[in-house]
Amino acid sequence: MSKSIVITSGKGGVGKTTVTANLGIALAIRGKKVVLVDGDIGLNNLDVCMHIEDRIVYDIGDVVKNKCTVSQCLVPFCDNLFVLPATSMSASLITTLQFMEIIDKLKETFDYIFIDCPAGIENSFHRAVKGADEAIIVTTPHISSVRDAYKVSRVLSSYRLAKQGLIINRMHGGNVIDKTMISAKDITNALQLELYGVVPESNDINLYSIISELKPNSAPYFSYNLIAQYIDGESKKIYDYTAPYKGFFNKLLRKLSQ
Amino acid sequence: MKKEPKGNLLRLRQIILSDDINIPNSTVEILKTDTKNFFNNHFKMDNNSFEMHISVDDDGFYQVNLNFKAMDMYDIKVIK
Repeated sequence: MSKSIVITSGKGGVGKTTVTANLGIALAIRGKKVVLVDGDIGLNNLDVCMHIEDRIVYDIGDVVKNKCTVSQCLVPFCDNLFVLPATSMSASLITTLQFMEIIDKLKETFDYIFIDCPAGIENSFHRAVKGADEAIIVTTPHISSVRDAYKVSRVLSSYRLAKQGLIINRMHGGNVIDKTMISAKDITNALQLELYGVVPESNDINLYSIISELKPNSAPYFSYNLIAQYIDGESKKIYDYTAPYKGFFNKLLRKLSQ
Repeated sequence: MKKEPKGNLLRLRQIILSDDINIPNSTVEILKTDTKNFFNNHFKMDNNSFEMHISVDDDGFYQVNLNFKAMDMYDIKVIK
């Protein structure tokens, strides 16, 4: 059964687009048919993140204007992963009903539809959420980001979503051990959401890094795969972001590097 | 000087609690936004004219009064 999941956060710059791209890639690697929809119409970036910006012929605006069909608009990333690019046209030109119709059309073909939601809780946010069955809220451990995640979760509770999950991005295990960063457990308790996974801060991942470019033994690659497995119905395993910082030698290395 | 995470956690809890108190009618606000969005799909609305009042009448029923001005009504198009 097809499932549409909106990736949202409230605050901008926490990694929604990167999480959307990486979960899509991880599920496609597992053999699922996935489409990533850029819901950030007008301020689109998913195309850049997926390195497909020079292969776009049509975008979601052309579908709405009946210039092309939904399937003609899709840009392939690999065999079973596609991107529905957004447009630089005004976001207000695409209505919620049109957006929901497009998502329904995609459900006929794909196992998973990930909607990259714009930041904020304005009209564009509501349009993106209306197309979703489930939501994943992305936050970083910073107070401002967690606060906005809480506000978004409150807004989302008014929608009839089957599930609301949480992904904590850019957790630094060393800082949590050093007690300079709030732990994932404390953030989850404060937000009262189900924790889907933790993506560690890592030198392997830069802004807009996608896991197909990462080493399979890198921490972000491993953690995104654990989250994808859970979304795909397997048992939940949370990446232990403090593990690389535990033990005598790791503590010594950190002391020496300070 | 190291910041105590418990201090940060306490600060976070205080902020969330304060947000909760300061936005007591968020459900009504969401309802307004949703309704406004819905009618925006069908009408070229004067958004400033949109008003929604929710009250409870003497029999205990919600009474929802909606008022807005629209310049035009859109055709319903089907996505191919």
